[in-house]
Amino acid sequence: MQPRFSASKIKSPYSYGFLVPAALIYGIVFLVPTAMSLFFSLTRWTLSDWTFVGLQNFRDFFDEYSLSIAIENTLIYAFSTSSLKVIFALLLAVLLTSALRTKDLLRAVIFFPSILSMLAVGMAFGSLMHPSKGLINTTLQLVGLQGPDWLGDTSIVLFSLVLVDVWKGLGVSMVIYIAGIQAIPKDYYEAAIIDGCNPFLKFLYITIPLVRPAMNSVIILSLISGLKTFGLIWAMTQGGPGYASDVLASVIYKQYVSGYFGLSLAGNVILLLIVSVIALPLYTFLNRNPLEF
Amino acid sequence: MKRSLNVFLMVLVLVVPTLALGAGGQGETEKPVISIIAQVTSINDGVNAVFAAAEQDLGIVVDLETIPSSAEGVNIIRSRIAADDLPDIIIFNAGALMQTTLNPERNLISLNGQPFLERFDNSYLDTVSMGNNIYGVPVLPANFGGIIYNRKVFSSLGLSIPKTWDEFLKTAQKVKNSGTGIVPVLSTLKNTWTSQMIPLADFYNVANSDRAFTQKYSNNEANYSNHPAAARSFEKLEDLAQEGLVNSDQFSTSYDDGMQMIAEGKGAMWPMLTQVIPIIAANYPEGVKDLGIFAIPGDDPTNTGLTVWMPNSFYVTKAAKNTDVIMKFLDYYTSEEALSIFMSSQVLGGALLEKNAPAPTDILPIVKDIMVYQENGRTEPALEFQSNIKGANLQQICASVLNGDMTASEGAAEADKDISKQAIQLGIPAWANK
Repeated sequence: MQPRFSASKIKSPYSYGFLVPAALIYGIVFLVPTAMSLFFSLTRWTLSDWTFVGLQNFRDFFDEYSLSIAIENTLIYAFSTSSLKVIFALLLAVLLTSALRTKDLLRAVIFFPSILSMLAVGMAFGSLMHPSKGLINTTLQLVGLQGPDWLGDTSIVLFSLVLVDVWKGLGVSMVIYIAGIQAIPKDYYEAAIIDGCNPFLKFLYITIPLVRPAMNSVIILSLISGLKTFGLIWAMTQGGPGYASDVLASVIYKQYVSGYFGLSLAGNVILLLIVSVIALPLYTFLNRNPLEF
Repeated sequence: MKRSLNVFLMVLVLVVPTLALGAGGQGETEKPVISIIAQVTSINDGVNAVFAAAEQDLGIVVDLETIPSSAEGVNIIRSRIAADDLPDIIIFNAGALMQTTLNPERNLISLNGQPFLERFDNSYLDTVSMGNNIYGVPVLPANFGGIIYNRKVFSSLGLSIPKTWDEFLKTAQKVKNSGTGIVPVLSTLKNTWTSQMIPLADFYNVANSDRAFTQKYSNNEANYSNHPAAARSFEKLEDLAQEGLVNSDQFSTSYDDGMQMIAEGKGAMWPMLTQVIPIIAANYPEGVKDLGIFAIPGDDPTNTGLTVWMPNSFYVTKAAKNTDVIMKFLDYYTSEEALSIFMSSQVLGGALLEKNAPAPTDILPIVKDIMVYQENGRTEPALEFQSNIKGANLQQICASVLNGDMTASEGAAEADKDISKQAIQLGIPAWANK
């Protein structure tokens, strides 16, 4: 005999009409502009009139001198910032969920940079990293070291930007991890202590496997934001010196700023595709075995 | 009772301010207002003084809205044009940028027939025209591009003004080897736009080596790669990079730093526009007297000249309603009276374009240098004022060459690609078949 009730057969007391406001906002603010972007990326657009040019914008975008540098930089930047955040935020989270007395203060201090404006952080670090007058290098000189030209040396400029981004973004990742760690039932740890486990093994065999949902969130969020990164790079180097720290978003922005609106939209469509191609399979892969405590 | 009292108070609070606002709107006869949008660097003490005088003498009030001078500011103007949200006047560049960004035939009112246009030479008027219509009137003096140098440094190191590019390099080498730590050629790439100074200001040499260059350039027959004089401009950047004649921290040195360094003698030479003179005069009143300017040398020692940048200008938009008031204002702004007010409130960093401009009294040595070139006719309007095609990425390309990341020929090739991208976007037939 079939069960008398199943979830799908109970009618919700709320009508579908409740979805309308949210759907309207989503549609107007997200779907319509996306559709318009897809359309205008196939045109030469001056904001007042447009001429259809098909895929020419896409061909021109791939012809861009700095594109290969930009794609390489974007991937390096995204994967570096993501891995650094994934690893160090976890270590910080473990430290700050232990029995440390100052952990609330430390959590606040580490989280603080994430609420700062990207532009303000960029400008501040831009002055700190000045090769001769910046605080970083003058401090290094006090201990007898010669600091490099952080933002002017094309071989390390990307690395400097990665460091600043990680400094700023560590807080959010850490908070996600802390939530994840606090969700782990204490029973596992107690059982481990009874079996004579040391802290390192507890970390390796309990914390890491059970913090996986949080880790998945951190990986996806930091990777996507790394691929789309723009504000920090623009505030600190504008893609310079020359083209050395250009990423996809800054190439797109430069085209926008030159008034090539159709071309810059084509670039944005390409960026959307790249992010989807990387993020969607990764998301499916990470969530293939949902965790149950 | 209490409830209706509350309702009454609420109604009062909502209604009274609305009435008050309404009442305030009517009332006294107002002075006519002209709304102007301008990029920040177009406005200085002289301009503000004339605006204030216009209110006093003519009773015309200027409502000025300033926007950033960077490319973002240009996009603000583009968006306002697209949204049809225009002020009465836009202050903007002359030349190529005016034509491509402001789309004069669609958005601006022609000034043809206005009497004040007679105050200007055709060399200026051509740069604010499109078709047979003149659209602009200058806000500021014209600007000159060349090598600003510090006389004190030159005399203490026993240097003289180089007349050819090879002599220039030797002069810079002498500064480098002098052991004084003075930077031979300042490069202030923290503000990336400054990287283009040498190729752009070198245009005098290019135009004079081939008077047909501009025509060939606009017709896609000559460009930076295939025309020897134009290619030379990029080679000059490469020379500076290869011989290490620029400051090593050029990407962290800003435009403001450059002004300080040249005024204080920490740098010997700076390829730059004379628009910096009023700013240096305000901040380094002693140092500015040590400065001079000479033209970027080419290969011909007998013919060197400064490249001229036509100043930002007033353009009247189709949204303007009181055109009579506006024309009166423009006539006033370019009159001798207003020019005297301008000159007394502002150190001149170039030459006023009005034919009726009063002779300046207190002239800085560097301005005297400029006047010598002008009096001898050794000036040439920059390329962007003779052709409406200008690539958008020139500054980055030049920065890469100065950094050694690109060779001169790579830079030239990239610049050509950049120019053709702009030309194709403009729909210019000569580039249509790529």
